Amino acid sequence: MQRYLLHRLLLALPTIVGLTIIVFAVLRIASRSDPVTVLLGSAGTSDPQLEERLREDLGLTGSIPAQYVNWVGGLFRGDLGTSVITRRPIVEELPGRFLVSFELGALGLLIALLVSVPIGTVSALHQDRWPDYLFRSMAILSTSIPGFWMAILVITFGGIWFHWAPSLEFTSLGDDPMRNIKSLLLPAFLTALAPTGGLVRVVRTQMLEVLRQDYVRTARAKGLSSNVVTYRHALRNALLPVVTVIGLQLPALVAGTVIFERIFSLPGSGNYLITAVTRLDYPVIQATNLMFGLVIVASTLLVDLSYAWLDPRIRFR
Amino acid sequence: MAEHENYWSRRRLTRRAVVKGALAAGAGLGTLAIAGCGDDDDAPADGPSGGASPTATAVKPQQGGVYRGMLALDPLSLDPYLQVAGAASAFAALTYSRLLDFKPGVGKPSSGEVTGELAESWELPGDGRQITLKLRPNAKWDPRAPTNGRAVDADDVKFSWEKFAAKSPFRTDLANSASKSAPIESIQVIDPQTVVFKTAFPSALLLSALASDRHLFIQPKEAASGLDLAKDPRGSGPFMVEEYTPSVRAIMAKNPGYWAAPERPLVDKLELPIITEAAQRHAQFRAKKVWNGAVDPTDIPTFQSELKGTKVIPVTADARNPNVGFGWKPGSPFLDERVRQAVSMLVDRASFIEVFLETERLKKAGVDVQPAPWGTILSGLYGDFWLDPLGKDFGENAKFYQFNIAEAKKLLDSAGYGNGFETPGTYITTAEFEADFPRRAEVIIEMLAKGGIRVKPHVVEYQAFISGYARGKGNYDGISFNPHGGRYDPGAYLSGFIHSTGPTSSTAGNTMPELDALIELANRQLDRKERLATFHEIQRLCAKTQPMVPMGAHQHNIDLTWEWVHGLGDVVGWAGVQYGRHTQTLAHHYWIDNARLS
Repeated sequence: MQRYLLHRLLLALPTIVGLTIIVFAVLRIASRSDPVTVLLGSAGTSDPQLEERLREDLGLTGSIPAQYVNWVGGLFRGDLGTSVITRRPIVEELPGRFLVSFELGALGLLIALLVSVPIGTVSALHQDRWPDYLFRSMAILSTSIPGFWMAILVITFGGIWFHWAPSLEFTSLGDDPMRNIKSLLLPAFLTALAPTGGLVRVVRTQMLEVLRQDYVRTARAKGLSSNVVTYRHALRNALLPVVTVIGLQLPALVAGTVIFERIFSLPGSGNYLITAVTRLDYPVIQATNLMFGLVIVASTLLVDLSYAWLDPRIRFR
Repeated sequence: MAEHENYWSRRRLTRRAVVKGALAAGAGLGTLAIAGCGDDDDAPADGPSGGASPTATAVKPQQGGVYRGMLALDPLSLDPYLQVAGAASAFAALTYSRLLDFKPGVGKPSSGEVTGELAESWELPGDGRQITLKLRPNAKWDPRAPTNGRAVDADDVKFSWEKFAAKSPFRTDLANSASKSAPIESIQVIDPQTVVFKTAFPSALLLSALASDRHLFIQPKEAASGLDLAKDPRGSGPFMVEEYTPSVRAIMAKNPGYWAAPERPLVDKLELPIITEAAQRHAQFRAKKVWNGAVDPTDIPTFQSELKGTKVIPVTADARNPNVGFGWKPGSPFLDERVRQAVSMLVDRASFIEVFLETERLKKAGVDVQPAPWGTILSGLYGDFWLDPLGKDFGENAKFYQFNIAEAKKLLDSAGYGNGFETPGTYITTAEFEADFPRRAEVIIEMLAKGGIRVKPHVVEYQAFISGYARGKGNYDGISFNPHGGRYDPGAYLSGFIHSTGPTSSTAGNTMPELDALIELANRQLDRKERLATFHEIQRLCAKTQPMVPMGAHQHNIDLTWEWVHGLGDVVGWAGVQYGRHTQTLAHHYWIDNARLS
């Protein structure tokens, strides 16, 4: 297992190096505008002296490879750079914001699991009968409806019909856990919509497969109750592949919270990223994308490791 | 009244019934219902229906209460000297005082004259080479450490000036050390209450520049020794920052040291959630969690008819002047004045205003809106500086602002474009210039097509537009669609956007010496009458030369608010104040009718 772990960690390294190159280069290829010119240009001023000073302060001078080396050097020192807009070190703001996104994504995933596992199971147990058709239709619907559109509908019609609006009083988890959860519940519910549909289908398929296995038939033949067979024997085994799906869903969920953070005024990294993109804040865009990329690399690694842990054939192959 | 109560009760019952149903329906909708149990019933349930008239202030203004407003954009930094975002200036204008401010108009638009803010008085001798300002003795800093409520003194002004001249993105407007075209050379502290600014040349822009919300916010000298104003601001303005959570909200409390305290501000606290999404703003307004600024003017009739207890108020608009700019590359058809005149004459301004400002629809819905003044080279909101192209004083060049396809075609024919021509038209389709700006550009493109100018839409990203077009000095093909936000003074607007040396000049690459000379003259003239005459001359000249073509008018001068809110519409600020236009109102006029609220 240790050898396998080392092997996977070593494979992750070139991925991370590639990630830093892509994150750094893509901005410079995609946008030819100079962020400092844009910054001062949007103010309607021209100040070459200040522009030059800003470029130096923000590490935007020198050749692009030299800027890349400086940036990566800074990463090793825990320096993610300084925001062009706020002129504050990114490392002061991004970790806190990332935690909010992570919390929202994790809460969304939890909701998705709480809804999808029972529904997927019931659907499998009633295969090709009306509950199955109903839940499968709902699953397709929830996968098809964009979450942000549903969020706009909820807010708009909540306002028109009930004179209701969601609370925008976000409080951090450390300051007041109850208020924190309250402010995240609705966006988390909406974040959960798309993964719920997918998970329902995975749980249903896995359950159907497991229910046809010999050991389930044996358990039934032994006279075990239907509930014990379903939940203790079938469901536990059906959920193993779901773990993989969850591992891959989490980074997508964290990155997918961008629009919900915007709509619900949440101080997450997605909101930070959108503001940075509109202002061409290179250092923030780079740092946020790098963070999202690292989350994907880490979750993929965890999924690989959990596979090996759950299935010994993989680590001994 | 009874009908209104029934309406409210019906709403409440319906809502609760549905919430009950939702709870029964499952965990998902239950979540929604729990999150929705907010304070939407806290607001008053009765009161007169919304009217079209400005705020009635027959009742005596009351002290106290919490103002529930909102910020449509995150200030991002609390130190206005470190960034250019308008939201930062708007926020800073609540926290920090400036030396001067613009006198608001009461019952009429502001004329742009200045009044004292931190400065109790000022003296500008005849040669205009220096200005002496006396500070108010009763102006104090935030009572919290390290400023501890001490008096604002001349050293604070000196510290602020030096920081501004070194760091502010707007320093080239004022600091001669950063730009030779800026007036202020140095500052001298005479005594703790007196400062003198020495200028390199007499400048008609000096007073308005000191009053502007882009420039000299007075900050405490403690910032030189460790106080981080970007995180923990300490000001002498009407409000103190009690809490600021990026992307979430700001809470401001009344500053007991403000020079007009304790009488002003009347309100104790401002709660300002940061709401960037229109749907969220609308919902928060309906739920009475946000009291104004949430509804677009064209949506006001709909909201007003649906929501009892709302009223329409006039608010200050930005002296914005959206326009068609020209590329001046060699061979460009727009180098010919007749082609530019034809472009102007193909713009149907009356229809444009009706389509985009919906003045008639608003009037029919009972909303009292003023007719939108047509832009010339200046926005129609610059008061006396603006010359009405529909008025008798404009002269014969006014014809170039008249919609006249036949005449435009004749002009094109005489310029050798009898069959019209094709040209690219560059604009952005994102909302940085306002949500409907792309639509405006597309309507103008349709209008030009009627005269034979076939504009091929060329969409670029915002950043590319700023660097290649707004600051492109005409070095591009075809035409571009520009928003041109207002400036603190019409002279500053013309210097920046029209003078050939301006950073975002529309005439660089096709210099118009006569126009440059008139703009320079206007910026030197200290006599207001003479200055007004020069601005009028500039507008007549630009009607003929059309260095850029105004797209019509651009103003939204109304807002919808709840009935317990007073004072917001009582004064109209200077349209040249781009960001901090609500400061005067919030600091001196705003109050809440707590009896209605409770």
